[in-house]
Amino acid sequence: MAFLEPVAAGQEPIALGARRRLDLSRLGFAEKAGMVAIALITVVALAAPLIAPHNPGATVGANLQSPSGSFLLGTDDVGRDVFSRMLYGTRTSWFSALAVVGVGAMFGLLVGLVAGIRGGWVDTVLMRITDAGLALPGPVIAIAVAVALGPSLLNTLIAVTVVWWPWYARVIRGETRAVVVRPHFDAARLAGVGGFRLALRHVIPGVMPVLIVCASVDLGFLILTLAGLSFLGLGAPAPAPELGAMASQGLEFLFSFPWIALAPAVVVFILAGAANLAGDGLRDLLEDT
Amino acid sequence: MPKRLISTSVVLVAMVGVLGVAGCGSSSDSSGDTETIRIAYADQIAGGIDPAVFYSIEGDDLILGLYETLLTYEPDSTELAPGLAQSWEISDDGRTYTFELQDDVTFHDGTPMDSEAVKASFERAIAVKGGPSYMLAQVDRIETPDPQTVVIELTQPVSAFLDYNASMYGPKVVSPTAVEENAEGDDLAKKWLSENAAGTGPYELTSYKPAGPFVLERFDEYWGEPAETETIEYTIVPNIGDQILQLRSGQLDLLTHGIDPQQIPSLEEDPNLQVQQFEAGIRPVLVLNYANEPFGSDPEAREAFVADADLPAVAEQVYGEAAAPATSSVPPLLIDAEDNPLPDPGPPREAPTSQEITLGYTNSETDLRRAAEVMQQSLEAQGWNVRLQADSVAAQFGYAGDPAKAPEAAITTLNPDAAHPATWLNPIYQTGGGLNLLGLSDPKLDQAIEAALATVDEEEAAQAYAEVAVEAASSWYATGIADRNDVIAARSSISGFSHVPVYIWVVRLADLVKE
Repeated sequence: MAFLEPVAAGQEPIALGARRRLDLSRLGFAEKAGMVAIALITVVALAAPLIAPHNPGATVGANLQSPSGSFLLGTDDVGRDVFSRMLYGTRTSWFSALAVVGVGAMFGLLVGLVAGIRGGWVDTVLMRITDAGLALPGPVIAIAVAVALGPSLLNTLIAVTVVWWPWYARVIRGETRAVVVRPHFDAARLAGVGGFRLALRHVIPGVMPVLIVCASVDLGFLILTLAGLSFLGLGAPAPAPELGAMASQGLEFLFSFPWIALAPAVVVFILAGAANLAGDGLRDLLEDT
Repeated sequence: MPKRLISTSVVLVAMVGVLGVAGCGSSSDSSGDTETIRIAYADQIAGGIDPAVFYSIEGDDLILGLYETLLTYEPDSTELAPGLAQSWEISDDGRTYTFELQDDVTFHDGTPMDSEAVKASFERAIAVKGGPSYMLAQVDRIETPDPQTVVIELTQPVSAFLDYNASMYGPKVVSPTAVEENAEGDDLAKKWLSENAAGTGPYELTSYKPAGPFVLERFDEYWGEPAETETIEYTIVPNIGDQILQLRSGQLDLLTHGIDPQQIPSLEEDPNLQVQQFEAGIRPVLVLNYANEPFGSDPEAREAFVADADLPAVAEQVYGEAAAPATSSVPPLLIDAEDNPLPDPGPPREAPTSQEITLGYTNSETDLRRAAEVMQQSLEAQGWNVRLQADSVAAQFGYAGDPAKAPEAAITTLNPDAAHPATWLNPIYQTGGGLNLLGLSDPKLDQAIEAALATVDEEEAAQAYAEVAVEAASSWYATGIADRNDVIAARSSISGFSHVPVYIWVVRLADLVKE
């Protein structure tokens, strides 16, 4: 199917990608594994309250027990089940990352669309703001905002979202500029199609694949960033099961009771790695069809 | 795509390699330097090292290496011992103290120490009004009849005055030459002394950067026994986990605090390390906020909170055999436990309020985090709505600035300033006391504390303080959780540990030997 056919004034354009076929055979083993892993992680995250054998915040055994049949990953320094905390931590990390990416991408989409469609001084102002956001060191600004707002999971997510959207705005603006110079866009505009409908029917379908790819590839880095902030104590306050905070608290026991720090660290690695692989796979699927 | 997998794998292998090297590094001392002992601090020294200002805990071993007080304590004891004063006398009315100074004492800057220098130091400490200045609040005047004699007249008897002068926060003698030469305006050289030192101690300060390292070198003109080791170097390593890793690898030689009791067995198993435990007056304490609700106006809420927190169970869970649950109002080093027992808060009961209670704890002390988490579980089982808040030591000291905005409850580690009950009860319970963090103000208790302080007869003073301790405990303002030891971890090559029970987190630097 052609990318987009020029149409006569007043006719609806063929939406980009509406009938795109996703050919999974194009993917390598690693990408497929990543996608399967992401699906499994999502199921585990959703089902954590059903799977976890113990209350993640309750003392259920003696402190610092080794992994056993009763406690698959042992207990931490307060006697809590590490496996249960890891499941809930996965849930928190995964959905937090999805939330930040979702909100950041949507806000970036909005800014990029407005800048790309309106052009002129609107484009200039919005892109200069975006450039300023990109110039600042994201993780450092996120830390500063989180500290200013106070340590809580919501404040940390807000802090990260604040520094995350500029990248999407930049990408979407570029893609939008490429779409608005196409004949179908001119035709629709000349036919009197309004701004909102222009964006919705004639631009967004063209830029969404790029946005999805960017977001999915970004998830891995975001998971690491959120875990890092949690490690520094900027997530939900104790005793919330957060992977970064769990790794931090377990660090002093690294050589005596290593599972306490290593279990959440391995989960972060798996989450980030799977998200990266799945993102690459999605990019391969959506490219050049 | 394979490139991404390869690069991810390379990073993973590198991380494992680094971890492995760090782990393998524990088997040997990476530093062959026997003339330098390396010690870790978790944080910068808040407010600097001016001895008239310093009132924290971490940093005291450094300050006691640089400065000296008139008196001190015998090691492993609360018996008073000569410091810069070789002898002392107290008048019958308890208001006049005469100190004979040691001979041939010189400051690090070469100025000879005499009675005028002591007088100037005391007057400076009073004027600076730092945390420890309460110890000189009753000083009326200081006379110097001759260069070796200092006579201090008090406005009233102070039963703790000798212990104040032996305290690790006690008035230190500072070179008057250095103060005069480095004063900026009328700041009494506070700015200069926050990052420099001019004392009489066995070490002199050769390098100080607020973010570390701090370097002390042996003072060759020290009046007493010279220090065993040439150089002491402090570096700031914020995380206790990192400190332990560096101790295992030999990058550090000594950790004087922050060791989680649960770490002790693992450290003792390492043939390159040793763990020393010393009796100390260290108490994790649950403090309730009297400046806001619900505890400010509801004694039943206070009692219920303490009952539901189940402090003995917290002590057992968090400290195990490394500490004894607190059974007395005041640490047993100061008053025998049976003379000031903690009252019984009664059985656990339903929370009388649904208000969210913020429970703050010191973020640098992992045992306090665990205590807070265990306590939260006990409290929530009785219907309390508890939110935990990690605060730095500086932030906790800042509670006193505006206690109404501080957490409703807090767990912190307190220690007596000296081996006298006045140094526990006065700062913690007196209105405006230096450790009265959460707004307690009870005029009746203030009066009792003042009266006990002014008691001349030693036995009568002890009795009076026991009664004050019982009354203070009934307020549920600051309830002890456990009585902890000082736990010190060091490389096996370090010896010469000299410890005073009320000098917590302190081993005498001059006695340390590195083989």
